[in-house]
Amino acid sequence: METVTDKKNLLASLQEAFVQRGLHEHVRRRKAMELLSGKGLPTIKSEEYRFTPVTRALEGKVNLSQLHSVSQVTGTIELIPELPCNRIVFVNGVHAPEASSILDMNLSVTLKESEESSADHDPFDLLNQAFAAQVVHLQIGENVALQHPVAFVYYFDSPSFVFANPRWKFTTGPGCKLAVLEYTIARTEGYFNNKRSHIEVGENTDLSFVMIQQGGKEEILVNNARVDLAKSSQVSCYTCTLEGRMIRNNLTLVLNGEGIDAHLHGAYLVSGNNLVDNHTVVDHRKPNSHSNELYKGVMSDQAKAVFNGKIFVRPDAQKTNAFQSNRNILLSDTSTIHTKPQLEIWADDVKCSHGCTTGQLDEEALFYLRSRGIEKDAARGMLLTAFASETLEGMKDETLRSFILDQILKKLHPTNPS
Amino acid sequence: MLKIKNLHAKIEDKPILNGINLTVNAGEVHAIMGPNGSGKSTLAAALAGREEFQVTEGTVEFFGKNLLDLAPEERAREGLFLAFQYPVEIPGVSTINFMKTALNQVRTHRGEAPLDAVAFLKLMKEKMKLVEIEQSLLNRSLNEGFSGGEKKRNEIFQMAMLEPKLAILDETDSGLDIDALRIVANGVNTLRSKSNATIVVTHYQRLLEYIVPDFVHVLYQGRIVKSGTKDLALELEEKGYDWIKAGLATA
Repeated sequence: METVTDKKNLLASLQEAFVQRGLHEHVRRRKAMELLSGKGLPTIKSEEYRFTPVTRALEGKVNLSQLHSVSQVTGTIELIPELPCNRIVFVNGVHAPEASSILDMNLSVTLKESEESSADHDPFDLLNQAFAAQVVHLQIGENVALQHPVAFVYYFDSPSFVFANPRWKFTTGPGCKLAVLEYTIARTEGYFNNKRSHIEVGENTDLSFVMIQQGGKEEILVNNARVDLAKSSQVSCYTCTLEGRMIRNNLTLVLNGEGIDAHLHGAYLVSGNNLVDNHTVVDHRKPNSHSNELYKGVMSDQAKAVFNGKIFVRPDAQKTNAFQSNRNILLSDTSTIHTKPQLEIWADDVKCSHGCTTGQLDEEALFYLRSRGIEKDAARGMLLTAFASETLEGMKDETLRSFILDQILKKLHPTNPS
Repeated sequence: MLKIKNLHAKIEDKPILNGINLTVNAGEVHAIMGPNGSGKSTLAAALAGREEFQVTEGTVEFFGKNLLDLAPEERAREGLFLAFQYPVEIPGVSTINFMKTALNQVRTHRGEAPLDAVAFLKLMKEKMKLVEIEQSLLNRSLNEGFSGGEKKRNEIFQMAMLEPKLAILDETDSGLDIDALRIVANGVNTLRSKSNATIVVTHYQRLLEYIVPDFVHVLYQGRIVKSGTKDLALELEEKGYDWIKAGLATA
C-alpha cells in the first residue's frame, strides 16, 4: 500500500507515518513530534518562511509509507578525487557504515538513538528529530589536528521520491584543528534532504566548515546547521550553493566565549525557477569576539534568493565586533532577491555594521574586457566569477578552493571548459 | 587602414558627432584636439564599439572591413586598441589573468597558437620593462587602488601585449605627472612602426611634445574644423580654442 501525502495534509500524513513506523514509542521523538504538531509546518504566512514555501513544495510529493529499498552505495561517493577524506556516508538519509571510511585514527564515530530537543527549534529540525534514524556522533579529543577533512556525504538513490533526515553531531576537544565538508551525490532526481548538524567547537580550536550544495535540479534541501563555539576558537563557514530546486539554509553560530573569531561566507548562484534562502544567526553571548559575514549571490532567469542575517549581541557581549555584508547581482528582470539584515544589540560598547547591495552586471567593466578582445560571454563569466569568488578568500585548503572555483566558473560561464 | 566618412553619432537623443571625415594610414600619428565637449572621447568610444553611442549616419572602414558591424571584441581582434581615459577598476580579476585570456583570444583569431604559461610570462616581462611597471601590480586586481599614473601605464602595457595595428589614446595624459607622462610616451613611441598607426586624443599640446604627430585635427561641435601639422598644436597652445571658434563664427 502506498500513501502519497494529500495536498494540504502534509502534517497529518507525517503524524500517521510517525505512528505507523513505531517512532512514537520513543519518548524524545514523541516530544519532538508533539512540539512540531503544536507549531505546525511553516506556511507562507510564517515570518521565517514567508518567501520559501518548503511545505508547499513537499505537498503531494513525499512518499511516507515506503521505506527506501536502496541502502547500498553502487556509484562513486567521491566528489573531489584528489582530496582524500574521512567519509561519513548517508544513503537516502540513513547512515551507511559500510560505505563510510575513517582515515584519521583519532576520530571516533558512535551512533546514538536520538538527542534532546528544545522548543525554539526550527519546525524542520523537529521533523528531523522525530524521523532521523539515528544521530551520528563524531568526536575528537584534546589537541588533535585532523590530517584529512571529514566529509559528510548525502547519497541518494531511489526509484521514488526520498524523504531523508540525516542527523549528525561533532564534538571537538580544546586545541584542535579540523576541516568539515558536506556534499551530495544524487542518483535520483526527487528528494527532500531534511538535514540537521551540530558542531561543538572546543576552546582554541580552529574549524573550517565547507558546505557544497550541488544536489541536482530536483533537490529540496533544508539545512539546519548549528555551530557552538567556545572561547578563543576560530571558525570559517563557507556555504556554496550551486544547484537545487529549493534550498533553505539555517546556519546558526553561537559565540559562547571570549576571543572568538568567526567568519561566515556564502555564495549562491541561482538560475531557472530555483530558490535559495540563507538564514543566518550570529549570536554573540560573551565579550571581545569578532564575527564577519559576507554573502554574495548571482540570480538569473526567474530565480529567487533570500538572505536574512540576524546578529544578536547579548548584554554581556561588550566589545563585540560584528560585520555583515550581502551583495547581489540580478542578471534578469524576472529574478528576485529579498535581503534583510536584522541586528539586535543589547550591549552598549560594540562595533556592528551591515550593508546590502543589489545591482546588475557592471556594463563599463564588461566593455573594458571586451575592448581587449575577450568574447562577451567569457567577459561576463570572468566578472561574475570574480564577484562570487571573493567569498572563497581565506579558504585554506587549496584543492577544495580550486574545485569550488571551478564549479562556480562552470555555472557562470558554461561554455568555458577551463 | 582607417577610413571614417561622414560619421554621425548620438547618445540617447543628443547628437555628438556631426559628420567626421578622417583617413589614417599605416605609419602615421594623428592628434585629435578640441575643447571640452567637442566629441573627442565620443569618437574614440564609437570607434572602439561602446554601445551607448549610436551611429546614425556614415561609414567606418578598417582594413576594408565595415568596423561598425563588429562587436567590441571583434574590433580588438582585428587590431584596434583603445587606451581608456578612465580605466575601469575590476575587483577579483588580476591584470595577468585578464591579459592571458585576452591575448590568447586575439591570437586564436589571428590563427596563432595560444601562448603557454612560460611563453606568456616571458612576453609579459619584456613588455613590463617598456612601461616600467612592477609584476606585483599586475598580480593585483585590475586597476583596483592603482594611482592615476599606474592605471595609464597599465593601459600602455596592455597595448604592448596586444600589439594593435591602430591604437587610440583617449586623454592618456590626463592625471599624469611629468615623469609618468614621459614613461607613457616613451612606451608609445617604442611601439610605433611603419605598419601601425596611432590616434592621440588630447586636450593639451603637452603630450604632443613627447608623441610627435604627423597630423593635427581640431574637433569642434562634432566636426573636424581644422587640420594641419604639429605646428597647429603649437598655435592652439598659444591662441587657445577661442581662436578656432572665432574663426568659425566669422566664416
